[in-house]
Amino acid sequence: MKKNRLILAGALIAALASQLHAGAPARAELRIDITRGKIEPVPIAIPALAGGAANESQAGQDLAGVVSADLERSGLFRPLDPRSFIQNVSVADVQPRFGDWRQINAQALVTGTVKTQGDGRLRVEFRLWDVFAEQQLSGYGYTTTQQNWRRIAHIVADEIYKRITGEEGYFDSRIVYVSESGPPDKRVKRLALMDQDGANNRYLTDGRSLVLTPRFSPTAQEITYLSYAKGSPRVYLFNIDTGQQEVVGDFPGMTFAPRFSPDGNRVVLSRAENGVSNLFALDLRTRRPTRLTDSQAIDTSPSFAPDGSKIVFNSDRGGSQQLYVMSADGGEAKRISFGSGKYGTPVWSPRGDLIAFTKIDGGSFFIGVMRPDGSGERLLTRDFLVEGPTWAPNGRVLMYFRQSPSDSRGHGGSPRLYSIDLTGSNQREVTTPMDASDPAWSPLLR
Amino acid sequence: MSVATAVSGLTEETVAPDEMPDAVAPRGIALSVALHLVLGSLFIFGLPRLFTPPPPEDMPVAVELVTIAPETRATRPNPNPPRPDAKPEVPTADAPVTKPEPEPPVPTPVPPPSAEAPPPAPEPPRPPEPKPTPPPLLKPPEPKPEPPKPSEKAEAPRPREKPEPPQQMAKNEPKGEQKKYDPGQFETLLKNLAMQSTAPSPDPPPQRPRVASARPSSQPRAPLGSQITASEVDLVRQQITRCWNVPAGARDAKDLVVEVRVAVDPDGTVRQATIVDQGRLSSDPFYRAAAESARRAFFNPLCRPLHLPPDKYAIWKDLVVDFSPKDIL
Repeated sequence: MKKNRLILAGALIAALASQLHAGAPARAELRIDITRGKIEPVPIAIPALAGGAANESQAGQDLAGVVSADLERSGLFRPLDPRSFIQNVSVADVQPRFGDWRQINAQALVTGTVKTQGDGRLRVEFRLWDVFAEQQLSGYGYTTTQQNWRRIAHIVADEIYKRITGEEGYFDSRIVYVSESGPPDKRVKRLALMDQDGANNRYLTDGRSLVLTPRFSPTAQEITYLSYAKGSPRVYLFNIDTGQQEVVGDFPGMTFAPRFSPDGNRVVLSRAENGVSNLFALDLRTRRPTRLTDSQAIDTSPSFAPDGSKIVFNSDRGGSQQLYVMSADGGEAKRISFGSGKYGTPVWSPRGDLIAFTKIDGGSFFIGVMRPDGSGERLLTRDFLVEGPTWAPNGRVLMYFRQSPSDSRGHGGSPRLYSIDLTGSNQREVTTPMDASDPAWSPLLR
Repeated sequence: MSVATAVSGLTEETVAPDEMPDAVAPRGIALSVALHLVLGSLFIFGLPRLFTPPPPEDMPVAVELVTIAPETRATRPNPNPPRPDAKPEVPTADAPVTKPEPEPPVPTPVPPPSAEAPPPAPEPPRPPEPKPTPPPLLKPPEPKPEPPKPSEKAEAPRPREKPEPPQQMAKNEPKGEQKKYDPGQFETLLKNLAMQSTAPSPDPPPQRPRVASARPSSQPRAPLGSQITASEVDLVRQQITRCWNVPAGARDAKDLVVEVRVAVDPDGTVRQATIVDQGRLSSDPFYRAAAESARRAFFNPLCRPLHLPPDKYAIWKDLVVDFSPKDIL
C-alpha cells in the first residue's frame, strides 16, 4: 500500500515535470486588447414623450425638445432626427421595439409619458434604454407645476448624461452674467440671470449703476458682485428670492473680486489701499474680516478649492502677474504659473483637479487650464479678447466671454458668452438677448 | 554524479518500506519526494555545465513569435468598393460590411425588467408583436446561420482564408529588389531611385504597426493550422474598435481598464458579454459608464457577427477582451 503511494507520488511528479517541460498552458483563452475606439457623440433617440390629451402631447414634445437640445449641446450626444423614427411610441407601450431603434443606429433611447394630475400638476415619467443590450438603464418619475416643465427636462437630461457618461450632469443650473447695452461711452450694465441653456432670461438690477463680476453662492440662492451703486466700487450681496441687496463688510476704500467659500459661510475678496491690494476673508455670520495676504503688490481674483482648504489667486508680487496658491487661512503662497505671459482670473474646478485661468501672451488672450500644482498647462481657446472663465457644476465645461473686433483696427465688436468642453472642442455661443460678459455658472439647483 | 545518488536513494526506498516500522515511512516518503524533485528538475533544466565555456553571446535579437497570415487584413483599403450602402462613416479599410441588416436575431440577454426605478409599469407587457427577436436566451448554436454567412461575406472583398492576395506582396518585393541590383548606368539608377521613392505610396497597405497584439500566452499550443494568427486577431480588433464608443474626457479615463468575458456562437455572434469586475460596476459610476460602453460594442450591428475564422471556433468561442482608452486620451 505504501508502495502504491510512492508510485503515485512518483507518477505525480513525473506528470508535473512533463507538464512543465511541455510548457503548454492548461487552458488559454484568447485575449484581445482594445486600446482605442470611436470618440463620437452617442447616437440617441428622444421621441416626444407620450401624452393622452392635446396639452399633454404638446408638453411631451416640448420636454423631448429641451432634453434633446441639452444633450446635443454637450457635444457628447447626437440626438437622431425624429423623422427617421420607425416606432411611434405611445402611452400604451411598456417596452420599446428595440429592433426598430437598432435599425436607425440609436444606441440609447428615451421614452416617457406626460400626464396632467387632478390638481393640475404635471406628472412626467421617463425611461432610458440601452438599445443594443435591450435593457432599461434608468427610469424616474417627477411631479411639478406646469410652468416648471423646463426644469424637469433639464433634470431628465442630467440623469441621461450621468447614466451614459458616468459624470454628473450640469443642465439643471443657471448662469448669472453682466448684460451690456448702449454705446461704448454710455454702456449700461445690468445683472442678468438665465437658465444654463439661455432660457428664462431676466434682469436683476436696473442698470443705473455699473455692476461687475457676479458670483453664485453654493446654494445658488445668493449672488455676490461688485457695484458702483454708491460711487465707489463695493462688494454686494444679492438674494435672488427676496431681491434684497446689501454691502458686504464695512471696509474703508475699494473692495472687489468677491467669491464665496464652498460652504457659503465666507466671502473672500480683494481690498485696495494705498496703491496695493490684499486679500481678505469675511465671515458672513459674524461680519468679521480676516486678512489673508499682506503684500506690497496687487493680489486679487481669489478662488477656493472645492474642499475649502486652499485659495488660488493672481498677484504681481514677483514682477509680472502670475498665479499663486496658499492655504485658505493665508500664509505663504506658492507660485504655480511659469509659462510666458501674464496669468489672471484663476478659478478652481468644482471637481478639484484643475484650475482655469485667463492668459495674456503676445497680444492675444487665452483660456487655459492647469493642475493645482501648476503642471499640465493646456490652452483651450484664444482670441482678441477671451476672459473670465467659469466652470460648469461638473467641472467638464467652461463658459467665458469673447469679443472679436469688428473693424481692422481692432475696435468695436461686442462681447458674447461662449462655452467650451474641457477637451478644447465643442465651442458654442450661449445666446443672450443683449451683449454679455462676466458669466458665472451656478451649482446644480437640486 | 548527483544522478547516481538519486538513483541509489530511489532503489533503497522502494525496497525498504515493507519491513520498516511505520514511524520511519513518512521520512522515507519525504526523502523520496525530495529526491524525485531533484531528479525532476534535472530532467527539466538539464545538468549544470560547469566547465564548458558559455556559448559566445549572440546579439540579443528580440523576436516576437506570432504567426502572421500571408497578409494582415486589418488595415488594407478595400480595392473595389461594391459596398451596398456607402456609409458615410470612416472609409477605413475592409470595413466589416455588415450593413444594418434587419435580421440580426439578437440573442436577447433577458427581457428587460420593466420597472427598476420609480416609474410604475402597470400595464402587463404586451405580447411582443411579430418583432424579429427570437426570445430564447441560449439558443443552441444553430448551424443555420453559419454556412450562409461566410459565403455572403466572401462576396465582399474581404479576404478571409484565401491566400490569393500574396501576388500583391510578391509584386512588391521583387520590384524593389530588381531596382536595387540593377547595374545599369548611373542615370537609370537615379531614375529608379526616384521611382522607388514615389512608387511605394500607392500599393503597400498602410500597415498599422501591428503591435504584437496576440500575447504569447494567448497562443495555445496546437498544430499550426489551428492557431489563430496575429492578423486574424488584428482583424477582429479593428472591428471591435469601430464598435466601441469611448466615453470621452471622463476624469482618469485613461486608467480605466474594463475586462469583458465574451461567449461567442459559431457564426461569430456574441451570445453573452459579461463585465468581469461586477463589484466596481455597482460602486463606481465612471467605471460603469465605461464598462457598459465596452459591452455595448459587442451588440453594435457592426460587430455582429465578429470576424473570426470559422474553422478555429474552438480557440475563440470564449474570449476575454480588455478595453482601455489609453491610446486615445
